[in-house]
Amino acid sequence: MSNSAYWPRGLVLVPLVGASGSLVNALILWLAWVLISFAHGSTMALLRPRLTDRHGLIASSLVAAAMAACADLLAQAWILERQDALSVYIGWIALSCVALEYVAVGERRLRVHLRLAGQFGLLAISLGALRELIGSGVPLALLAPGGFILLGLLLAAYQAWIGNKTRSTLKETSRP
Amino acid sequence: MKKITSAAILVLLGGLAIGATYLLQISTAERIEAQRQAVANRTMLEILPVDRYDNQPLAQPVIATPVTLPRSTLLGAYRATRDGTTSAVLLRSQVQGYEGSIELLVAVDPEGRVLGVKTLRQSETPGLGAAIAGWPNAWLQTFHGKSRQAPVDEGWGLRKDHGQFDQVAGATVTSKAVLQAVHDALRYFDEHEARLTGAISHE
Repeated sequence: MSNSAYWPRGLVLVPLVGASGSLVNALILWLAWVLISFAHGSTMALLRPRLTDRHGLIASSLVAAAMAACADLLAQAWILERQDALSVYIGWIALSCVALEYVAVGERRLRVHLRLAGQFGLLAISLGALRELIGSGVPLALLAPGGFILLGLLLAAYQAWIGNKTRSTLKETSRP
Repeated sequence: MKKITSAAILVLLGGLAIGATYLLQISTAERIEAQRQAVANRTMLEILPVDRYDNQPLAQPVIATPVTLPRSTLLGAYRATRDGTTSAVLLRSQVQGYEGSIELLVAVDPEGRVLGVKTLRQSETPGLGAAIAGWPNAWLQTFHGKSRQAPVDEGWGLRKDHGQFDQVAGATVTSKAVLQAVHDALRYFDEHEARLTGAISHE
């Protein structure tokens, strides 16, 4: 996998750590990410063959920005109390979409996308649950630095668990 | 040829994106405003136990315009009733803190005793004065049960000013501002009790 494929993963880290202070927030954000990024992906799949490379980037940004803006408006209208905490990360989804559009080419795009959605979901649920569980006793767990520490521990545990598997898989998951 | 199609798609896409966002914004504006109002109401009413009122206190303002008090400004007053009789009066007060203005909500029972004090807005120093923001708030609870008469005026001060209230550690100005705002509110309540509790209808 090329180095550039790490970009979307790195971008997903921000909302993952930022919104996983509460399990419900993490789930909502993950759901929004899946909905928006796949809607963006399929829209772009339709348009891509008809666009020049340069226009492709603009089109991708336009679609992503419009979708994220609409999602934010819907969040304000229906889950206002959570929107306060989620707003920044909903906007961030747009960045994720554009990054995904540009890292993987051709058939691999869908695979990278699906795998990222799965990893993001799994980490969002486990990190959200863990932070909420520990957070009542250790307030640090609810703050962003605590989130990063826990994420590191989770990934380390995952790595130890798949330690027996092939080296290539290990390398891929070690740098999210 | 591809270039022209591509540019045309782009223009169309831009129009669609702006149009869709604009339409959604118009159609959700009303709902968003209502939600904001509901959230604001809920945060304010946290100050009262739910079994203390059965009306919508914030829909019953008692004063029409802000009133300037000696050391603070009274922005609003609301009456909470239960079974038709006044069970509490909410006084929304604004006072100058250390960093900026502080907005407080003071709940007073019909006998003039503090039921609760809640910070609605503040921009005090994080880690020091900002400690007045949390809810429930241990320091703000030291005002519970206090009234204009108990303690008497001399007692309404911080310990370092020979009063009887502890201060938030490292935040004398903030503590003093809050204390004076609460005292002002209680004095106002004392002087306008009949009108605030609805014992006599005004004007």
